[in-house]
Formats: sequence, structure tokens, C-alpha cells
Amino acid sequence: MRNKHNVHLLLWLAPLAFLAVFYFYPLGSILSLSLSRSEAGILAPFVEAVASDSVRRVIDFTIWQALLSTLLTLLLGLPGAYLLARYDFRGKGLLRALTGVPFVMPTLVVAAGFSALLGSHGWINVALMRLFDLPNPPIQFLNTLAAILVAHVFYNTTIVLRMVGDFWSHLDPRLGKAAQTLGANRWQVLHKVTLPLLSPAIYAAALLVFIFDFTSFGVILVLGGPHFATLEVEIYYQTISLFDLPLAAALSALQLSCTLGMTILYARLSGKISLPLKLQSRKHTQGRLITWRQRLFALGMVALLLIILTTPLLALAGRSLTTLGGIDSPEGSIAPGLTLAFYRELGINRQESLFYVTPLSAIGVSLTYASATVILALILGLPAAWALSTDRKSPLNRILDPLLMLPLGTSAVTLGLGFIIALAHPPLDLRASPLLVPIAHTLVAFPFVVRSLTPAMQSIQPRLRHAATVLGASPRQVIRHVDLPIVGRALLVAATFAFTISIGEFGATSLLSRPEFPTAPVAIYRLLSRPGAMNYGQALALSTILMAFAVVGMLAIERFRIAEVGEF
Amino acid sequence: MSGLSLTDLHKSFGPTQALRGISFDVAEGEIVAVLGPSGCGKSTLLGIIAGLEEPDAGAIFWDDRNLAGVPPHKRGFGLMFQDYALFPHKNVRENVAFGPQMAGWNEVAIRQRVEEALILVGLPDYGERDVASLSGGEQQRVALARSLAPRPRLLMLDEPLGSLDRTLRDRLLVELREILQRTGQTALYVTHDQEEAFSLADRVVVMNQGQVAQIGTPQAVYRQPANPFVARFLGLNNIFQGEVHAGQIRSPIGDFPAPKDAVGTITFLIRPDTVRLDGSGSAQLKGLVLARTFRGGFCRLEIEIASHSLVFDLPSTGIDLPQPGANILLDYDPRDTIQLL
Repeated sequence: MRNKHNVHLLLWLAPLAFLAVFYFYPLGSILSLSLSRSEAGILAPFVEAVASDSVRRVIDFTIWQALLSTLLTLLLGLPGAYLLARYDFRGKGLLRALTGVPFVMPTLVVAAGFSALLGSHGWINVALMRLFDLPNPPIQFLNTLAAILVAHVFYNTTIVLRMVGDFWSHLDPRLGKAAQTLGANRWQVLHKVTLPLLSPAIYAAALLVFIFDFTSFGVILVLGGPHFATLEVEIYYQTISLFDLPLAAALSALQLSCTLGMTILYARLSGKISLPLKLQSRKHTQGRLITWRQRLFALGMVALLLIILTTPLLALAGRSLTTLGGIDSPEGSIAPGLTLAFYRELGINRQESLFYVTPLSAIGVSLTYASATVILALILGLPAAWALSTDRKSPLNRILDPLLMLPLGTSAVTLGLGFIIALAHPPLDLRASPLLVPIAHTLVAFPFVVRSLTPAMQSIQPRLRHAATVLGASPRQVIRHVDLPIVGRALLVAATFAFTISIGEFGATSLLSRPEFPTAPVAIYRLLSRPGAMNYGQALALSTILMAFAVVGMLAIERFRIAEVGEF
Repeated sequence: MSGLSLTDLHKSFGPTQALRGISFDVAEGEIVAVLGPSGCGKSTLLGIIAGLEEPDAGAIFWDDRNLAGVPPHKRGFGLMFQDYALFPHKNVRENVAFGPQMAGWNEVAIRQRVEEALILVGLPDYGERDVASLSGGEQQRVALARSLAPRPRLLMLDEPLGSLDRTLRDRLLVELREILQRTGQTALYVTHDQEEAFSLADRVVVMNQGQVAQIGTPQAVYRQPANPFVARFLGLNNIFQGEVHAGQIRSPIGDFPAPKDAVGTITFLIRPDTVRLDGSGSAQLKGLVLARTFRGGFCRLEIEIASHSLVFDLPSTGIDLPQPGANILLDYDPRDTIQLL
């Protein structure tokens, strides 16, 4: 027994050291900076911040938009979850796979996608202008609350579909039928049986959606414009534009306490989902679409999901290949129509450009950072997952398991700010280190890596190992034929998660990346905030390339994940 | 002897003693069922025989060779797990081929054996299926094929039918017996279900709290349970204590001739199927009918005798059985009294 604890401790050493230096130390620095400002007591900086009108407005708006977004997401997600949970139809697998797309899509790509669809130079506005001969774009979408809400719904509907839908699909439909035979009508069944049974899944999903909306950054920065600021965006402005680090730190501390509280609550709730009632195999819970009402509902739901999930991305790819009016480029004017001009321009370093380097090289920077992130995240995630999988109930693991998930509930901008405050001076001066960005990305990716490795490792020990052993496999053969293939696939999934997270990460990167080494999302942001059709086109082209990487990553995850193994 | 021999196996997990001196043999070609309630140490026993766990004391022999120190993969024993433990990253064929591959068979022999094993369990065309797509019964058969494929000298089965529903279980039970008998497979079958044990095994080892409660053929164990635990576990509950005086038992439910050699205070069992209503018995039991349940081939009567409740099964055809509330006189042959330890 003693021995086992020592092994655990050894496995935990590297991951814990990493978290201590790059998570707790920066967050501690934020806290101490925000406290150091005042002589009036510990709470003074927060009271002061909250008392100021502008900060109050930011806090109110942060909560308001998150609530509204969550509500809209549930409104779309719950009927969708019902469809996926209770019915089997052609193309369902494809629909399910498509719903995974937003999960890996970088925020900047989504923002660019909605801009390409509904922005003033987007498809719909241009089409309406042509059709009715209007002088100005009729739909004002960018810089509105609607843009923020729609993008949030795009992002988070998947969470409701998967979390509630999966739970629902294992719920015995006979419970509802039993209620009906006891005299309940359809609404009473929904109200008294189905919803109460689903409530842990619904609450958990809603809370997770709320957390994501609460800490949303890229979407609000790009689609909300200068009028809308959430806490996250305000921290960024205070840091980057106003250099008021103490105020930024106070806001960060405020946000951190909110998100950590919610994350702990979420962990409690999601724990409930995994130990419910007697769950049924899907074969017994899903039926075909038979009545016209069912078919109509399915058709409408599928169409709605498809429109919301695919149109921004299709608009983005299409718009990046099209010029709608004549554009004057340094090589001469480009005629309206299909063109690769935006892609070509990505590789050219213009004198007056806002880059020291070509925008295309941002892809190279992103790929380099992503590779470093994959390596770091696996080196740290493997021992942690190993320790967790051997004995989940050991006291050490019980404490450390939730600890690993903390970065998930910490906003990326806060992490970035923490790095700026803590790691910019001795003893740890990493300002100039090229590792700063990958380290931040590793923190963000770490929970995902551990979460995808642990179940696979758990599944092989000791059950499958014993099975292989009694079939005559020597310890070495067990590793070769059982451990490696199963963990190998989980490793691929974990690596892909780390890769796609890194390549799309914007919140922390926006604070940490150096001007001469912009990542792809940073480059897209710079291009989008510049006027001119050429800049806009390049932003879309770069977004499309990034989108392609994300889609490939998602396909890889779906491909390598072993059925029934893997949890979120 | 040839086959498996267990001598005085002990195993504890912290304060709980899982095995407390288990000894029995399994002859080559024999099917032995280990029968006992959950938590009696059955699964621990299999783990120890397979070599996945070390006993605290005692030894395991195969053909008189002590297996201490022989690692599990060199014992040549197969183990079919309760939850099957099929490899999720391999299809059906690859799962079944795993054992022969590990044993280093050549490709042709492996292919042949896999085909043979799949035919044996009735899944000849399932080779390329994904194991996740199989139903519970199909997974059970694949697991059986996989454990049979490397021709283990001993096959151990841990509650192999436990998680299946009744009808499927009854069908698979018959098939399982056929497969094991046809291949002459030496097998150790662990279950908590007496029907399974009785219909499958040549001999039954009843286990209770880490100890052997009784060993014998299914008929012998059912006819002559050794102690109150075995009797109750088999659903035989007419158990009483009595004093033996001059060849007579004096008991709460009456006095009648004692079994041979019985002296002092004894515990005895009256089997439910040993009474008649035809006046043929040399002893009588007088009581009040509390309940009558029609059970198809027989009727179950619950009868109160001297404020003790007894259960008897009587043929449901030919005779009119009394209604609840009526008095009844049961004929009983004292030679059917079974003395328990």
C-alpha cells in the first residue's frame, strides 16, 4: 500500500509542479496585485471596482448576455436533444458529427464566419442590396447584441445536444408510458416525469453553457464591437490599451471567484449524471419517425440545426473565394467573381502592411505552437491520467482530480494576464521565451487531455489486462496488444484535442503573443479590425485555412475515439 | 491425480477473509460448479486459480505439479469473465484469435481454430463484426469462443450467464452444457444459481463465507444437503431441532422415529416433496393449511404445525387438496428425515 502511494506521488510530481508554477502562481499574483492597490482593506479594490458605474455596467452586461444566451441555447438545444435521443433516422450520424464542429472551431473563425454571412459585406446584405438596389446594407448585424447571442447559440447548442441528448437516449421510455397508464397526459408526463429525470443533465448543461458565455471573449470582441464589453473583454482593454494592470487584476479576481464557484457547482452536477437510475441501451429507447407530426418536427429541427451550424462556415469559405465588387490590389484591380487573390495575398509581405511578416507565416507560428502544446500536454497529462486510472478512489486522487479541472473554469484572458503579471520579472522572466504561448495553451488543453486519456486507461486495468493474461499473453504482450492499441488511440484523441485547442486559442494568446510572431487567430483579428476589402478578404481566407485544420482535427477525434470509451 | 487440486487455500483482503481453507479436486474432463451466494469468495477463488491473485496460504496443483510461481499466462487455464471483458479495439475474429496468437500457433491453424470456435458457439459469420455492435447474448458467445479457442486445459467460467435475461439464459445453458461436454472440456463453473449448477455440473461445490459447505453430485447435494446453510440455499426450509430419546426424535412439530445413529440434540430437515395424502406413511403430521399455490406440476401448501410454518409440495393431479383454513393429515415416512450437521 505504502509503495503504491509513493508511485502515485511520483506520477503527480510533474503535473502538479506545472500547475503550481503556471496556474496557481500567476493567479496568486493577480490576487496579490489587486489587493496591493488599497490600504483600505482586503475588499476595498473590489468594492471600489463594483462601485464604479462603468464596471457595474460591464458586470451587468456580462451576466445579462450570458443568461440570455443560455436561455436561447436551451430553447434550440432541448428539442434537438429530444430528436437525437428518441428517434433513429437516416443521416443521424452525419448530423451528430456536424454538431461536433462548433466544439473545435476557433472563436475568430466563427466571428469571421458570421461576418461573412451577416456583416455589411456579408452574403445576405450584399444579396439584399443587389436585389432591391439599396445604397446601404439593410441588416445591421455586427456590433449588436443579436450577433453575440447568435454566435453563442452556434457555439453551445452542441453542449445541450450532447449532454442532455446522451442522457435522454439512455432513459427508459417506458417510464413515460407507465405515467400515461397511470392517467397522466402528455404535458403531465413531460412536467412530472421526463423533465425531473432529465434535470441533472439539463442543469449541468445549462451551467456549462452559462460559464462559457460568461467568459466569452473573441466573439464579443469581434462581433460585439466597441459598445459591448464583458468582464473578459474589459480585462483585455484595461491590460492592452489602458495599461491599468491593478484594475485588470481586480476584475480578474472578481471573475475568477465567479467562474470557480460555478465550476465547482458544475462538477457536482455532472457527477450526478453518471450515477443515475437504471440506464437502458439505446436499442430500446429509440424509434423510427412514423407519424406526420414526428416527421415534420424532425425535418424542421434538422433544417434549423443545419442552418445555424453550417451557414456561417459555408459563407466563410465561399466568401474567401469571391470578390463582390472590384478591388484595387497592388497588382491591379480584381474583377468581381471567383478568385484566389486573398489567399495569394496572404503570402506577400507588403511594405505598408501591419505585419513584420506575411500573414501566412502566422499559420507556421500557430503550427509550431500547437506542436509544442501537444508535446507538453501529453508529457504532463499521461502521468496524471495514469495515476487517476489506477485508483480513482484513493484519497490523493480524490483531491487532485478536481484540481486538474480548475483551468477549465478559468478564463483564458485571466490566464494571460496572470502570465503578464507573474512571469515578466525575476525569478521567472519568460517574457521573451517562445514557450510562453504554448505553456498557456497547455493549461487550457490539459483538462481535455486528462479527460480523454483517463477512461481509456481505466478500461484496460485491470479487466482487459487480466483477460489478455489468462489467454496466454505475457506482460510484454499485454502492453503490446492491449495497452498500446487502446491507450494509443486515446493518445491520438488527446493530442488532437491539444492541437485544435492550441491552434484556435485567442484569449490568452491575444495578451501573450509577440508582435513579430502572431498566431493565426491573432492575425485574423488584426486583419478584421482593419478597413478595406483586401484586409477583409485575407481575414476570411486565413479563417478558412484555420477552419480546415479544425475540421480535420475533429474528424480525427471522431475516428480514433473507441466506442463507449471517452467522457467529457 | 490428473487435473486440478486445491489444498487449503486462504486469502484475506484487509480484515475480510475471502477464502478460509478451500480444498477440492477437479478431475480431467469433469465439470465442477462452485455454487454460493454473492460474496462467498467464488470470484476470488477463480482469480487465485488463474494466477491473477496470490493466495495467502495453500497450494494449487495441476497433474500433481505445484503451480506456485507459475505466471497466469503460462498456466494454460482459460477464464471467461462475468462481464466478458472483450477487447473493444478488436473485432470478433481478432478477439477469438488472441489466445492462439499468444500461444504462437501458425496463421493457418489460427484461422481454422477461430472458424471452428465460432461455429461451436453458433456465430459462424460474425468474424468481422465490431464487438460493440453485439447484443448481450452474442457477446457472451464470443467470450466463450475466445476462452475456448486456445484449448485451455481448464476453463473457468465466472457467472457467465449472470447478466442475461431468463429465457436467453435457459437456452444458452443447454448450449453451454453441450459445448463443454462435446469438447470434453475440464471446467470450473462459478454461479449463484442452483439450477445452472445442477443442470451443468458433474459435481457441485457449495461455498459459504469462504469455506466449502458441501461437495457432491447435484443429485446427492439436493437429496442429502449436509447442513442448514446448504438446505436453505437450495430453498429447503423445513428445518427443526429435536432431542433423540430411545430412537425417537422429540421436536416442536411432533415425535417420530429418529434416523439411525442419531443421538442427543440434532438438526433435521423434512424435504417438501416427501409427504403424501394416501395413508401410506408410518408417521403422520397434523396441521392447518395456511395457503395453497398451484405451481403447474405440483401444488405448494403452506402448513402450520404447532405454530411453526412448513412448506410441502404435493402432486396437483389426482387428489383434491384441502382449501386454506382446513385441517390436514400428512403421511410421512420417517426414513426421509435428513439429519443436518
